[in-house]
Amino acid sequence: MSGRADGDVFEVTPDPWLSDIVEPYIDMVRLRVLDAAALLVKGDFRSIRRFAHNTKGTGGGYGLPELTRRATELERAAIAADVVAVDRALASMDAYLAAVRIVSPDQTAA
Amino acid sequence: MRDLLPPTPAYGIRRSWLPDAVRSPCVLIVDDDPDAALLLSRSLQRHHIRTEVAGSYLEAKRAMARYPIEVVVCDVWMPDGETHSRAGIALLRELREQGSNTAVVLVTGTPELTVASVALELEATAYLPKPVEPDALVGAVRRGQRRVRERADGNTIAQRFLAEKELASRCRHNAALDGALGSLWMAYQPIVDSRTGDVAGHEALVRSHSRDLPHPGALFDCAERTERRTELNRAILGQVCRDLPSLVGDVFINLHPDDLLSPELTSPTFGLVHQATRCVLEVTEMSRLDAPGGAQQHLRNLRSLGYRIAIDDLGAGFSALSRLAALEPDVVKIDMSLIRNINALPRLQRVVGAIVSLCEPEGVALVAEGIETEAELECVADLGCSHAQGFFLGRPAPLAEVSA
Repeated sequence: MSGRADGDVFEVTPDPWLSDIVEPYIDMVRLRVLDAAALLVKGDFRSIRRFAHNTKGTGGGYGLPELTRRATELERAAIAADVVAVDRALASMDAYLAAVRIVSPDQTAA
Repeated sequence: MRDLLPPTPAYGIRRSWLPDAVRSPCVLIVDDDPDAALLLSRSLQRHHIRTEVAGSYLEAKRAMARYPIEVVVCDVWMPDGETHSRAGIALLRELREQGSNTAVVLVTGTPELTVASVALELEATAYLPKPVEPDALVGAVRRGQRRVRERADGNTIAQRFLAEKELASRCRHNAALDGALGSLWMAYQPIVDSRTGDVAGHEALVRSHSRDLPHPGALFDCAERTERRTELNRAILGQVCRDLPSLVGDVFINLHPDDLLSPELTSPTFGLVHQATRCVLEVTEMSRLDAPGGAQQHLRNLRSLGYRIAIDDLGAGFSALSRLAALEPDVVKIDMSLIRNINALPRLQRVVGAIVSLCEPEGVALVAEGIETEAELECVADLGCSHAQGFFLGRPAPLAEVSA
């Protein structure tokens, strides 16, 4: 598994045994980021914290250590019930996920 | 010739007679986050390690009753109803208390020193922080497998054979129960007013189309053996809940004392609680209700929701009259052993008369069970039993035959 930031694009090359599940995972987390934004409006920091905690635990495993880092920030903000910081962390996660580009090992070699 | 035989399984005995699920022991992944469970599962599968997945503590226990689990990889924190708890530690502790050798690898997004030391004390194979390094996970699982197999190898051939026989039996029972639950239905036997003969309600009696478990006794026995009585109870209550609107009068539902705590009885989404005023909960094995801090509080709670409580089979086995006062039932059902030929036996008439004199002043309704003749019906009515039930008055029948 490897990754590389190139301007606004984060290129990620998943391990072959994960190649079919990384993209669906990213799509799913993006949807959950939207859900979390709705939870923030309701002030449900507990659910946001749970989402952040889970994503912190899985991001790196799917080859997205940067997602784990940003989810850690979100978890910290949710624990502090800091609306501004949670909003910022969610935006940061969404921006990162939008910028991830899955690259197959063949493309990397080319 | 040797090459034609299937590979020797871990426990040494070839088991071609066992179902597929039993042949190769596997690793159980327990995590409430499906993304995490999938990731852990993939990390192991790429090393040809078979996995099963459970999303909660309860699912994990169910899976462990069904599959031969060598190693459990379990998240420490998982939801427990509305809150989160250290379900991973609870599962590990329970396994050790049961004397299980199953290896446990704990994973957590919140590593804590105190939890790690408890895990170590309970002989967890590893305590890994999330995101879990795939190589660390595979290493820990392999260590766990080795430890389990070394311990199993220490057993005698006879011990291993018995353990595998027990496992096969458990799998057969689980498969039979799955079939029975899929074809479960309720029969309803009328309970009538002993004076007028009007139907006052029905007793719900579970039935199944399964050929493996043809009668209720076998069904309950199988559910007990597989530790799935709660599941059977849920299926029964669900079916009764669906049938209730089509029935005349009250429904009498048999419950094990432990099932008084069933969330299905109180859950607004399950629905039975909305029809609680039409439900009479029949409780047997009353000795269990006498335990200190036992079920009496639960009975009070259930009453406050509208349920009524019946003591079932009074006069049979270990059901002493003294419990009548303690449990304050709304209904008492008199066992058929006190009813058979009562019209001809003054001794039985005196016993039933005594029960009537105890219950009547307290407003407790009485149901005489096992009425098989007109003479028995007349006799119990004369003695003061308000209701009666038995083949003479109606056999258990499908809903379509008894519905309003």
